[in-house]
Amino acid sequence: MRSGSLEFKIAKINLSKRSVDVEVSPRSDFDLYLGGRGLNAKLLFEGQTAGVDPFGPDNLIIFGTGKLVGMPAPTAGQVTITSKSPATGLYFKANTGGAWARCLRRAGWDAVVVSGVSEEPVFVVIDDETIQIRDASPVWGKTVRETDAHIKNELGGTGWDLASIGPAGENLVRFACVMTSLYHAAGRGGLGAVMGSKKLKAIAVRGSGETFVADRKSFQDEVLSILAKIEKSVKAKLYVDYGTAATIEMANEGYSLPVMNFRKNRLEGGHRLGGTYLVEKGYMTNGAACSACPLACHKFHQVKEGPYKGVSGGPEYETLAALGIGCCVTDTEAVLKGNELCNDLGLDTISAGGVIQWLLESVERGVVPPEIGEGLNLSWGDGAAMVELLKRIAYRQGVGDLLAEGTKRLSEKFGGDSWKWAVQANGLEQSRVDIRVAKAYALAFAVNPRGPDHLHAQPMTEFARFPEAVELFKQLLGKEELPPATSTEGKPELVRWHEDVFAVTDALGICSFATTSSYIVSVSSICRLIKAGLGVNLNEQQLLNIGRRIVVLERMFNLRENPERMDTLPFRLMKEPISEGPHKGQVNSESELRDMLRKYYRLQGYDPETGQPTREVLSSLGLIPDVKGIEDVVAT
Amino acid sequence: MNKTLLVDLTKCTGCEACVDACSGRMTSQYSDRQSKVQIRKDELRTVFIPLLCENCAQHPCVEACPVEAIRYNERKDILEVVDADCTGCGACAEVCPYQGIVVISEKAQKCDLCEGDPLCVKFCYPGAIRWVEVDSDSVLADLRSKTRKLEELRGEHEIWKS
Repeated sequence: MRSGSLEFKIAKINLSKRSVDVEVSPRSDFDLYLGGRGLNAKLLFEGQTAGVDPFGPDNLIIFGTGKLVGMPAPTAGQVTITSKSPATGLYFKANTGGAWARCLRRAGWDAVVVSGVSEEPVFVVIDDETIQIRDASPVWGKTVRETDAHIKNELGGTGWDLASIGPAGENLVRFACVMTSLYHAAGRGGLGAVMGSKKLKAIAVRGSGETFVADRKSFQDEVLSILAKIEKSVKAKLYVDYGTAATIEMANEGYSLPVMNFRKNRLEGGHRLGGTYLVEKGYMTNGAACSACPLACHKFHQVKEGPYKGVSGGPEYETLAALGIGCCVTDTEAVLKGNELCNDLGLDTISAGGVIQWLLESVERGVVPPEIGEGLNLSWGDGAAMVELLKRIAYRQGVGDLLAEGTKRLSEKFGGDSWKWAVQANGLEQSRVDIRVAKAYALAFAVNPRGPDHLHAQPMTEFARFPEAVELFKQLLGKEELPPATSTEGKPELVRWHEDVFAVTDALGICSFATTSSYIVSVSSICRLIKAGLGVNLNEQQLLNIGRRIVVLERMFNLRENPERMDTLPFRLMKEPISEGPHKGQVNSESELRDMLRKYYRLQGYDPETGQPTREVLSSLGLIPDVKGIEDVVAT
Repeated sequence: MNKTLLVDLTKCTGCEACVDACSGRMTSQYSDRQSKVQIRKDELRTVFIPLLCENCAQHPCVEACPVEAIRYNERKDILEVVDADCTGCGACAEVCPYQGIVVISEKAQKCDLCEGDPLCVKFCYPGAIRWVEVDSDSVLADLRSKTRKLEELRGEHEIWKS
């Protein structure tokens, strides 16, 4: 079977048994879940039971690419990695680009499922249809770049790409990430630590095969029409010129950037971490695209000399905001070094910034003694301390060993009121969006099965900042007058659409920056890509329905895992209003959130009080009877 | 007027859309092997280089071919490999300074410039591959700078040798 098929070819690797099995899933899985994140969700739900130890042999880590990957569909270069998170103990999917997904598809595989735990460090080699498990002891303890160089040298030839972990993953840091193409991160949820617990250092892949296209002429026309749309898009242009870093200045000047652990909203000198500054000063250089992506929002950066001399990929908005703005560090070069270290050691920058800010505030408030820093100045704005803390976290040295557990466990350990400034919910540090000024984002963060972050739904349209967003907003609300971002009006509808589209996006292996966020790839355009690329007729409603099915299935995993889990937000954002600027007084109050949740649950057909999907919803989406065991989870 | 595919190294983002455009132009499959454009990637040193026939004026491939299988087309503006004559010895591929010739199924294959309307150029959103007239010294200087960069990288790192 080659990549033109609508079945899924899945490699099942058990590291305890050192076995590799090949499975082909039925065509119905494509019709119901499309692939990627959708297929992963089903495989994870059916592949494990509740209560599995995230670090144990029964936890699966699944790498799934979409059917559009391997074709030049703009942004089709993504892989979704799915597992049970050691940070949250719940469902987790994280996605990354680079060239890894394309290589996997060209090797003829749609997904790789890894189970078991190896006794010795290993790496997996996928060379077209051949899969080997090899000794990784020479690279155990090495950084991502060292590992990449060593393994590519050992394998020889060209065309290899690695998904690997750094020392943070090996040391089971609960927010260690998986890196692809050196600098692209499946950042959140500690999936790198899941690999580390399995003693799996890397998966190297190359593919010399082909991806079949159903109607190459129509496909080509659709690609060229999307490229023409990018040309006219303001938001896409920002990605092209500055990457996600473009947003820093705007958010800082608009008092909507979380500063000092979400206590302030604008940082003096914050522009030194903005996209224009980074480009003008020569820090941010050329683009480093994921496969088939015209935007190349991911960049390279360099510091030419001095103590922070170095080169890496990025930096992203979230990194600049977490390690820089949040910690009040405006020293550009220190923040770039922080980013380089996180890439190389395999640390999620968002949670790393989150734990450091929690530490600084805890020292400030006297809950944690300053001596814990063993010589480091643990006060706001010290770039050198931030950089040093990252190393200590990855290697679990001194205070780093504590920080590696994440803010929820930290605050439980240190007690007092410190849980109040652990800006997390359900075990995940919130990403750097001040949702007190954006109520669709607030709802999206609350219902996100990962926890409060931006990569479940990106309802960028609520800011109505550019024509594509305004148009969509009007369409979804069915009216011309648009409520502001701080209003809850219409936000449940907005979130729902974005969730569904985001799920479809991940399932096909394209990028949410294209389908949401910049809205350059519309739902109808996705339908045309599927028709021309795969020869399948799906209308917009059918497509969104698949997205909904994926969203509900992920929710069911969490319901099975922990029926007590609540759709909620970090305590600070629900209790402490914004203290300055035009949004002063805005807060995510409990009643406001509850109100939005009720409306959202009703739209979804969930129980309006508990938020649990009903049997009727599961049946109408076909999850009953398709997913084994799902019926047992639903309330009778 | 002689036209060429001009590669701007500073603009290539390594997305490989050009590779897919090339392989998918005549067949219904995208494949690196079937593409006459390749991207060499070196993320460690933050560089991506599109490798393709640049229709250069020096054309060492022509001189290297022992059976004179590389000849100008009828319009005398594009060098083509004449399949019937090619023995697949690979001598042309070895001398090409741009690594623009690949041997596939025992035949040398190179870019034929899509009959004067290269598809890779349309797929290259960042504008790293442009289709320009060789009408000035600056164009030639750009071409030479790429050759130099390739030489430099070849000397430094294993992956450039293959």
